[in-house]
Amino acid sequence: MSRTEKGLRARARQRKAAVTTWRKTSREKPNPKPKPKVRQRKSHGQSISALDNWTSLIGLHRRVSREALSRILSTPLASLITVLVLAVAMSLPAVLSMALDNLREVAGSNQMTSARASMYLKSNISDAQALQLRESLAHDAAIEQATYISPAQGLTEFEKYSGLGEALRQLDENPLPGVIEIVPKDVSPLAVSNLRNRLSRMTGVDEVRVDSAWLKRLQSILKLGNRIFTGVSVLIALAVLLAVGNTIRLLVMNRTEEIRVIKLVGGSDGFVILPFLYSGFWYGLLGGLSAAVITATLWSSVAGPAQELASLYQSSFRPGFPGLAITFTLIVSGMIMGVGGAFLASWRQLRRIDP
Amino acid sequence: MIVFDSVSKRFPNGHVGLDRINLHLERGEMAFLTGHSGAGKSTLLKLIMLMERPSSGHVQVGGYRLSDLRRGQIPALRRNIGVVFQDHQLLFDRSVFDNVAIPLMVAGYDYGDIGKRIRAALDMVGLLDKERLNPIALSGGERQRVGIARAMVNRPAVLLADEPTGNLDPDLSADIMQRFQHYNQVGMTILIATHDLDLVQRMGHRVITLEGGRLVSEGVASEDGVV
Repeated sequence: MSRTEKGLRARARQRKAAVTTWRKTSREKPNPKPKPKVRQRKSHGQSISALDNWTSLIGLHRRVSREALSRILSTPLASLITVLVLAVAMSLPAVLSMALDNLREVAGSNQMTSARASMYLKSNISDAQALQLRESLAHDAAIEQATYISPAQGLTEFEKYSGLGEALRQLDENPLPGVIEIVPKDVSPLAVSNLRNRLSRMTGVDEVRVDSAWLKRLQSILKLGNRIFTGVSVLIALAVLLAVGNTIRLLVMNRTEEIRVIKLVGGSDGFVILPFLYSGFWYGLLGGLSAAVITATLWSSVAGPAQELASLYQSSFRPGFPGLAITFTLIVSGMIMGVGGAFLASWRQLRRIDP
Repeated sequence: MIVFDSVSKRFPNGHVGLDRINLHLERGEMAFLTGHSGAGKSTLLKLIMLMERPSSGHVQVGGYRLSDLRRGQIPALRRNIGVVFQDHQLLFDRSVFDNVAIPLMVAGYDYGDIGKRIRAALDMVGLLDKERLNPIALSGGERQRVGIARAMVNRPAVLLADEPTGNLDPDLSADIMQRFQHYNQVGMTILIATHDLDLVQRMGHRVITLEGGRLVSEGVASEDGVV
């Protein structure tokens, strides 16, 4: 017999039993016959196996979770404060992780000056020669892209960005050399340094500059940032566990009487703890959602200025929106920490309530 | 069904609650437990449902030695024992209906399926029209009846009742006792602690008398007293 069939039959029997009791307890018929009672005993036996019934288990979870949520909503102010504490705490590592992600993108992007080499040409090199050199470099296997900036172009750009055009115009001739900007294919420090050595030996080349120092600095900052992120995440996880735990602890204290009564009529430890786990679940979920909102808000207030700053470095870099990954991580870790905090806070306390 | 094997209970303050009690209650038996207050009636009932543990001796219920039960098995024991508490043990944060629902909820019934059983139990104690009220709005006697309905609602194998008719008027007491007797006739083992000797004598069941924690007499009550 399938599970559902069994469940249906059990339910039908329960219903029947309830109906017979109903009739028996009505006042015109005070004298019951034993036979239907025997059937009730059977239905009583069914009640224990009813626990195994999945549908009733799912029903229980649905009901308990709904009750836990409405309990949270019934004290809006206190719940809001708890949720905000969780949200602020959880948005801290989220913002940090978002900042690190964006920095990493900056560090890895070819558009930035970071992995760019500037080849300063000797002043006796003509535009035509320089273009020829650029052409040959563009076919070099180690080079992604080569751009020639003539002295005249360089001057206009310099005027535009430095604001020193007036002073330059005082000079008799353009002091700027021609420059070929090289974007290497391999941006690892060793490859860039090899390329630099090779390029600087070429004829007509005055100097090759690679701004790799700050790239290295950025990378070690990122490494440090990752460590800080890990540390902060652990601390925040602890804080969230404690915050949820404390809220749930108070909840258990307020409901000691109810727990006692439920245990007196045969509620198991698992049955008793379930509402508290769901309370923790909802706090964690709401906290995670709010943290995602806070993170997104911070992003939108920072994105504009960050893009402006990047454009000053001639980069089209745009800070990435806190994507699905961060939002998902916030919500899921919020739920896990909520349930975990609730469990840690209530398990021992509930076992001690021992009527 | 219920066996006490030289059970003693001493409380931490030195008070002797029960002193070497030997008692045997058959399956399907109905008995009254009498004695002055402080004689150990409540303690004896609490030992059966493991609200207390004996200091020495063994209690057996339904073939299980209670001292052998693991912690996780206690809820299953309690689900098979309905208890009417002297102090009702009702919850004032929910309706009468939801109070009576608790034993069915912990047994894993679906909330949608239990309405009829609860109303049947409330009808039995004459409180069908009060299911929506909070127990705080009820009188002492009505609260007691809610407690009785809760103890009976999942038709346990054993019913323990501590002064179940203490706050009820004589008519209602007799009615409730009739109900207990009906359930007893179909196999429910019932033990009722009371000092309402009138009632005990009218019912004509076995009477167990405690005095100062000792079992002083056992017999069937009749109009002439305990035989």
